[in-house]
Amino acid sequence: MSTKLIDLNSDLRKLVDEGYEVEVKECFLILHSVPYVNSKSEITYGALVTDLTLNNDRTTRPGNHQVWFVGEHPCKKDGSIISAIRHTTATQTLCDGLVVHHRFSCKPPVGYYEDYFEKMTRYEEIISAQARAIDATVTARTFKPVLASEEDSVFCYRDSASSRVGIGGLAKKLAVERVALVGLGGSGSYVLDLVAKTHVREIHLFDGDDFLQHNAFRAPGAASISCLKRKLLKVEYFSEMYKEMRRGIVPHPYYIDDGNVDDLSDFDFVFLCVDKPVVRKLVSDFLNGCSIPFIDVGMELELVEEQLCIVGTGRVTMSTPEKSAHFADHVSLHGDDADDLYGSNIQVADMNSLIASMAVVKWKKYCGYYQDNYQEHQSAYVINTHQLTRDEMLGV
Amino acid sequence: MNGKNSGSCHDHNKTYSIIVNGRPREVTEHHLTYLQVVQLAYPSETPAERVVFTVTYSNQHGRDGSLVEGQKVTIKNGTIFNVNKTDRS
Repeated sequence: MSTKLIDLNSDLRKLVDEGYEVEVKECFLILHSVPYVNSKSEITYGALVTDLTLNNDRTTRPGNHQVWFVGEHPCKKDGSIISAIRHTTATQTLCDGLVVHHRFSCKPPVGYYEDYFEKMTRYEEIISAQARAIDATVTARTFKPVLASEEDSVFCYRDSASSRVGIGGLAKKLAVERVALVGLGGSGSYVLDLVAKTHVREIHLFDGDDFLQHNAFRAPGAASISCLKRKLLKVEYFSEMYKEMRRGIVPHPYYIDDGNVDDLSDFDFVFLCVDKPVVRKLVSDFLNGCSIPFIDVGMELELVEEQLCIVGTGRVTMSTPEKSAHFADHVSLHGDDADDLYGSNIQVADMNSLIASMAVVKWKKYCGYYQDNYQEHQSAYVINTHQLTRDEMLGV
Repeated sequence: MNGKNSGSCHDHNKTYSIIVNGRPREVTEHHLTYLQVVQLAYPSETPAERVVFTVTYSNQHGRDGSLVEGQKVTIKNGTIFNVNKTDRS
């Protein structure tokens, strides 16, 4: 239950956002790693504990002004006990695995603490101030990740990036159930990197290719030699990497073809990051038929030999149930091999990541995360003119 | 492509200096269509009809934009075109 309560209550969230190590266990709130001084005038660390007065999972004004403490009795910097807060000393098990040693009492002038933030930080201040008198750098605000529990988050640790800046509710707009990434080349792998950091419940990866040395130069992160030696499939490599951070990554180690395109029938959104026009046609026809919105990304970079520099264009084309007829005007849908005509397969990670970012920004606009005045369904970035086009708009 | 094409261009023999895929080109046409720009980018080839290019234009003294088949744009000196297949991922 731990992070759900924190999400629901601004006083608990404020403790997390300010960097305190917070844990909620049953109905007790624990502040870990609180520095204090022991009787030998040494700095050590304990935990402050309070019961939580809750009403329908919402904290109310704390029902009492006392707290428990895990550790030795905190002292002043000279090793004498802080007698002003002393109440009782008794080892006591509050709930499974939570054993406390002391109870403190510090009643504020008004007779109560307004909320749990005020209550816990007041005790922390009294105890830790003595430790800081010895070493000014010690702090209970460690910003250590708070472990998230299985049932309420896709992440292995808290999304403090969203909650710290108060956009946790906004981030939930991206908590759609299932997103598919077809193709994990340079562009698809960066799409994964960005989508993995949203609250999407499941991210399904479709690719039958191996993760080889050249792939490492156009993929997020830094692959080790030992990792390359394992000759993993791309879907294995990337699901291993992102499972460190989140749940819900589902690898599908095969290419999409006529026989399995049905596997895409139950997604909320699809990113199509493939090279072959025939696969684009197969998948886009299928998704249009199912009214599943998707984004296709593609680029071409070309070497200007006489100047020894590169020109090129990155493209992001969205197709939605509201607007799809434009797709064939902007995307090649015929031909088995992208190499057939003027084949140039230069790829550079910054361009891969740029069009992946454009695609993910577009998806977030479609989800209502970003404002989307023009609702453009087609955009191209052109390198040598520093140009960003805006076409196929629904919003004007 | 350039020089002798009479096409729809105007009376005098004004030429425009433009850039296509990073390389300087001279044209006499006052307007260029999507297909003409593709031909300028790949003069030695006849592009397969079914290949779709991402064609963009840009001009310091005009507006930027893109062309799909059936569209054309007015040419000025210095207009920069880029023509790419954009099917790599």
